[in-house]
Amino acid sequence: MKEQDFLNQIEQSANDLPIPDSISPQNMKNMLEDYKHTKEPFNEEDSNSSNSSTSNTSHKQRYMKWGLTAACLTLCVIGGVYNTHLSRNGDSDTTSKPSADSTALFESDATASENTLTSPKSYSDYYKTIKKAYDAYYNSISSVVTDDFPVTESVASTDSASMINTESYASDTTKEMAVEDSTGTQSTNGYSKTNTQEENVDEGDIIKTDGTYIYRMSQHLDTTDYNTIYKLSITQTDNGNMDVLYNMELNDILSVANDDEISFQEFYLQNNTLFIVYTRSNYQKNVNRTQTYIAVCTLKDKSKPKLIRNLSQSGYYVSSRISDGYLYTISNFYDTSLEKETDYENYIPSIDGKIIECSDLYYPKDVILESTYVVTSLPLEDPTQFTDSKAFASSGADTYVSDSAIYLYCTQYNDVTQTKISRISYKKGALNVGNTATVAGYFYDSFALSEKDGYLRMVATIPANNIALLRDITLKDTASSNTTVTEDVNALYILDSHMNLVSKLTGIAPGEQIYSARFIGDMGYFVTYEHTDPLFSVDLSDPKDPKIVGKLKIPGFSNYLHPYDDTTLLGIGEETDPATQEFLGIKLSMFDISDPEHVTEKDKYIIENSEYSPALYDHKAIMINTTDNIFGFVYTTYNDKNYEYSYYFATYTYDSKKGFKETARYKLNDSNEYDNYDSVRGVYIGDYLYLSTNTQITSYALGTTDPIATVYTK
Amino acid sequence: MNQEEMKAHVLLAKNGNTDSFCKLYELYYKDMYRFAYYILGNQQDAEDVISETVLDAFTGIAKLKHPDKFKAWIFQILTTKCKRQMAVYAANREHLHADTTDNDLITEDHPYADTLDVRSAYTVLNDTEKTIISLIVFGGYNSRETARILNSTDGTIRSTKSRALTKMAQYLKEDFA
Repeated sequence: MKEQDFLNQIEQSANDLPIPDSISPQNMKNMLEDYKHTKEPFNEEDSNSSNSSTSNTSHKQRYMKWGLTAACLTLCVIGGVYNTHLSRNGDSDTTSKPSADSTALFESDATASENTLTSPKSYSDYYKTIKKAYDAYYNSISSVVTDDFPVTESVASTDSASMINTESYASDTTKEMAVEDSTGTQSTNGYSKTNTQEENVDEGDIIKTDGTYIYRMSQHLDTTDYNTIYKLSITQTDNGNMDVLYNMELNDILSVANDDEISFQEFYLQNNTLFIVYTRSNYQKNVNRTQTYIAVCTLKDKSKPKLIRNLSQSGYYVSSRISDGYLYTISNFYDTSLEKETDYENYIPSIDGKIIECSDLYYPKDVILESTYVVTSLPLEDPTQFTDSKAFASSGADTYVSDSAIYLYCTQYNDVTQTKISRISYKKGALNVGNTATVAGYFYDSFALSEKDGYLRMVATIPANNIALLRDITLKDTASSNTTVTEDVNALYILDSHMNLVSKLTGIAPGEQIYSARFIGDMGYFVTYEHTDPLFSVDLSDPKDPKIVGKLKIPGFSNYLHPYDDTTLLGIGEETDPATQEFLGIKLSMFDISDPEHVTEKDKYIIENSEYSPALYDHKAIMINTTDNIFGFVYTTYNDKNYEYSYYFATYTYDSKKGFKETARYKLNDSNEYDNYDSVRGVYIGDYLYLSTNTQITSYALGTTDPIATVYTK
Repeated sequence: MNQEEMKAHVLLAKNGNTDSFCKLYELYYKDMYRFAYYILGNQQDAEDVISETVLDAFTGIAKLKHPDKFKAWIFQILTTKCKRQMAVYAANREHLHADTTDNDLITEDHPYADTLDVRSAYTVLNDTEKTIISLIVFGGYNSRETARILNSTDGTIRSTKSRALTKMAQYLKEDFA
């Protein structure tokens, strides 16, 4: 699906919506005048809060300027080859369809040695290169017409999107590093940890615990001035009893100047130290400069976290991970201006206040400088300065991090949907910018990617050119006759550490999209959905020859898959009526994967009246520890008999004989309170559950619903 | 209106000048109305939340730090108001269902039937999805800015956006098959 096209459709659909006269500026002025006369005197109280909760318009316009390039540029075309060999025939068996001969789906950079990723000789050299590209782009912008762009039949001809670095590539490093089998279970320490994609790669969150203390970042909207206030609380726990040792605004720890805008992102807890990732924007000469910061706070005195270091890198926060004893942080620098060559900081990212060295700066041959990605590594043992940093020009990106490499992937919605994946390998803090590959399709989220033994395995959905359909809708008189081309397909790709294609399976499940995936060792499982939920199992033990070995069809679909033990896979998703596709509730499924060729749904559990859960889309919202056989998450319910709307946190356990069991359920909202369920996090320590929201933490003995204590962190 | 003029109007509005305030409002009110209407699906309620927003914004503008953020700020207020209204709907579902089919969203012989179909496809979205798509389309925000307004994360916004658009496309596909 071409998202920007669709968004434009929506915008256009509003054009003929009559704007009522009652809200005209003149009528509003009258209303305000009346108000002023009834309500003397005008309130001039000045707020001392330094935060402002929203972003500015000038920044937005600048985003549009650069960001549009993503929508307009059609760099390379991989034509509609992929659906020519597909003939959809009702509900026919689709596993027999996958073919490995469709060459158009992947742009190999095997012969692309001329498309090298370059480091500039000097800043001036860099300036000239990007200025030239910038000018060329804006001169040509009128000739880039996406509407009538011919979808050619030829296979991918240009390799312009791929890039290779000039530095010698350390090809064997990834293989030296043994990759842990990800089927392993989680902590055995008797407390919950952030639910992460990779076992050995930690992810930041809004709550962390070390088994005694609960660290929680909360945010509050100040409804008097619509500013967001961030607060950090540290709560000592002792078998359900709690003591708030610290509860202060983030600005206090960071000692931030009043006019700067702080936006907390996430934090880590390592070595009795907090690593708080936040962004900070300030305005100089009407220019909004945003930097990503890492605040390092020691916790020797829990009632007084002490800021010992505050490191910065240019740009908005993208993502971060802790692995290998280092914090890897990715930011995106795009407030660029090429007005003056000597204003380096306007177009070259800075690391801790100093513009990055030329040798650490990379750009592809076809640079357009939409934005520059900055990656840094910070040693946890001695977090005083970054060990390494790299920057490279690239389009917007999402992140997947394995235990040896950072992957930035970026989907481009041109006439064909394709995703560009760049690899940056890491080892002991040293970063190495690697190759880039482009594949057809998009990833539903980072769980669609997985690296093992240097092989990157990925499942993607390739949308049919449903653009044609959407365009037809705007052609007022045309009944859309050409809508038969709308059929999505799915593909599996395996790349090596040079980002060369090793193998692929295409044409999987025509007409369906991937809803979730999980790679467990040499096996991959993914769910597609149209009317029922086929759970596919793929044998990846030979990366050159992946095989779909099983397919299970059940109603509904899973949005999240989690290895529960060696023979079972937990699915959290939605149950639907196979006939009407009506949503019936949130469903827990336990799949027996002991025989990958005959996967079965051993047990299922449908949560009564449930409507929605953040767990379906954010794995960190799930509290889970398979060793302790416990998991839980928040969900909303709607009871259509008494029209009551609620949200709950519930904990579950699983027994291979008795199936799922809800061990406790906690109602979290009062009357019609509506939108706070997103902030709910559950952690458990020993036998006690602590439910935390933006305003309070309440403790319970696991499996019981009588609160032991409540502390307030507002 | 250029940056300097905007600053001047914000300054005057801070001193209670309704003329200046409404000049700023004039820049955005159409998108504000479309935003509210698409989320709430109801003209009267959309008008009401706009009025409330204008009043709140006017009385609170003294606290606006950065003049160039007026638009983001007033959309933040409007979003909060719309969410409250949706909570009322959630507590009182029949009302919502009655109204979305009752209004002028779907009219067969309307000259712009095609665009109306896109609009009616909005009804398949849940409240969160409506809010996110509306902020992106009518507020003109990217996913990061949307995340900020909704106290969410960039990634969640992007995945919700994709899911919402897929749902709408599905609805349209079925409708036109």
